[in-house]
Amino acid sequence: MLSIINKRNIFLHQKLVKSLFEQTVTRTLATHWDPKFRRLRKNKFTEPTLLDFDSNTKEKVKRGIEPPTSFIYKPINITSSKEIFDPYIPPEGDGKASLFSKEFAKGAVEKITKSTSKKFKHLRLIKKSDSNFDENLFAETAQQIYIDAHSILSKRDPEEMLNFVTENALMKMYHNMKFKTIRWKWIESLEEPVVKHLVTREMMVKTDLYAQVTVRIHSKQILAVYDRFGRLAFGSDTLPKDVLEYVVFEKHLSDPYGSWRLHDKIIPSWSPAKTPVIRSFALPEPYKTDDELEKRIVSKFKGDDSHLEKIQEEKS
Amino acid sequence: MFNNLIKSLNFLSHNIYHINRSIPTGLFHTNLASFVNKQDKSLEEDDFDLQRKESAKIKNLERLGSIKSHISWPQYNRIIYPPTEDGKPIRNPFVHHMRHFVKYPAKKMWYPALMIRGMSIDEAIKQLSFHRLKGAHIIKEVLLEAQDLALKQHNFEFKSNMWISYSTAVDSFRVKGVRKHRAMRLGMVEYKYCTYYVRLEEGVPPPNYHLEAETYEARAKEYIEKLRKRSIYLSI
Repeated sequence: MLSIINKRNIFLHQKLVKSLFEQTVTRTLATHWDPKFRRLRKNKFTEPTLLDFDSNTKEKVKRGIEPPTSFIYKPINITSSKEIFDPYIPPEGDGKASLFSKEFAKGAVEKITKSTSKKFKHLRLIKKSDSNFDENLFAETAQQIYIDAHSILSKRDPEEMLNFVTENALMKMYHNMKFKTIRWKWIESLEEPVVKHLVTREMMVKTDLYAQVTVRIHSKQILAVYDRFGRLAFGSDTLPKDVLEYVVFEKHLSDPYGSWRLHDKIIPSWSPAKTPVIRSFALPEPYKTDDELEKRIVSKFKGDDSHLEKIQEEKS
Repeated sequence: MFNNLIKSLNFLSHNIYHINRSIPTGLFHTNLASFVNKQDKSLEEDDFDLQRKESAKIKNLERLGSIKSHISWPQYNRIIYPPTEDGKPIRNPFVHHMRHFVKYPAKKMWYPALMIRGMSIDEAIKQLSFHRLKGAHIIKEVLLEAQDLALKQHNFEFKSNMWISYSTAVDSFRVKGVRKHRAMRLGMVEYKYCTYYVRLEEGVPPPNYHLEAETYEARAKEYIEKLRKRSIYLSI
């Protein structure tokens, strides 16, 4: 829909430099045959205070305008940490082959983590708060916590889940689960759960103690994830699967109301690939990590086991 | 430190000039305070402060009901349907999307919105990119946003396997201004805002979307369903 080009309008069209896109979008500009009084006409109108709903804060920040300040004070949570202290490195042949085979012997050397030599000292600290702490007993209770946490997932109640799960794990479990239905079933455990690793750490002050325990769980489970509309998105409702996992449980020892809760999972690099999602999808852009941000983030937990040396001094 | 001294001296010099005026009228303390606050207010006002004040006015109007509320439309995206035994969903999968406070009159926005009804998404985007009106390009942006939402969050499989089942433009609020006519005559000018609502559904668009409602059979069906929906309240 081009406007009629008269001789009187040519000077306007020359001034307005149009791109190719704009030339396809033709709207009737300057319909008046004698635009002599166009600028005087502007003075007859008041300037209303129209708001900028279209532009985003990002564009404004580029131009130099500060974004609006939010007066919401975010709460700080001390009951859980956000990391795994001294992660356990599981051996490669675990779960694939039996103990007495060649394949297990090749890749089965347990890589020694830093604080395996000080295991008994960590145990001693844990027993100060829990006098009845036994490794074998704890493995079974940990398995029960694992079952309870996953069975409550389907109810979509985060407050109920916090009894069994720390805030760090709630973030990871609850985020993508909001608008889906999950059906999870525990069938049986194939091997006994075993405690593999114990760590305690301090946060800033001597009296703040956190303890983490990794447990090896080998089990059979059923998982089916359904869509917002009731379509199957992942897994199946009838076929069970063998699952080998190294689960981390955490407790805030200096808190009188603290309890052992599911904290995180260690996924080794040699684990088998997951089954694919049923529907096809386009690959999203790769997740970019801010290296500068990660350098600035400093964990408040000490990286050493230096708090264990004082136990010997007290005894001696 | 030297710069700070200079700044403080300048500040005092400005105020002292005005203090001499204000002392005889009233209390020294209060007039100083009022003058200082006025000065600081002009420095503190940003674009965001203005916007916050005026958006508060809009929120009050939304509460009173003179502007339609914008929350109920995207809340349909949060409904979770339970899984069925057959595998077929209860309802054809859909996505709701909208854009509110678009600076464009709803009367003009309604025409491209009407054109789109019943089209597949590819055809709609093609037609809108060559449309005459400015509102068509705004609708195109909204459709592309809705397409992204559907693929990422609502588990739609293919990008082009969608069609548009609901699209309208509704006017939301107006800002009034004044213009001058020939003699001492004034006229009112309205700056209009509108909202645009869209629903995308998955699948191939139905063949006779526009003509379905116009056949005698369809109209008879609707009439009969209307009659059967009636219920007698407070009956035994």
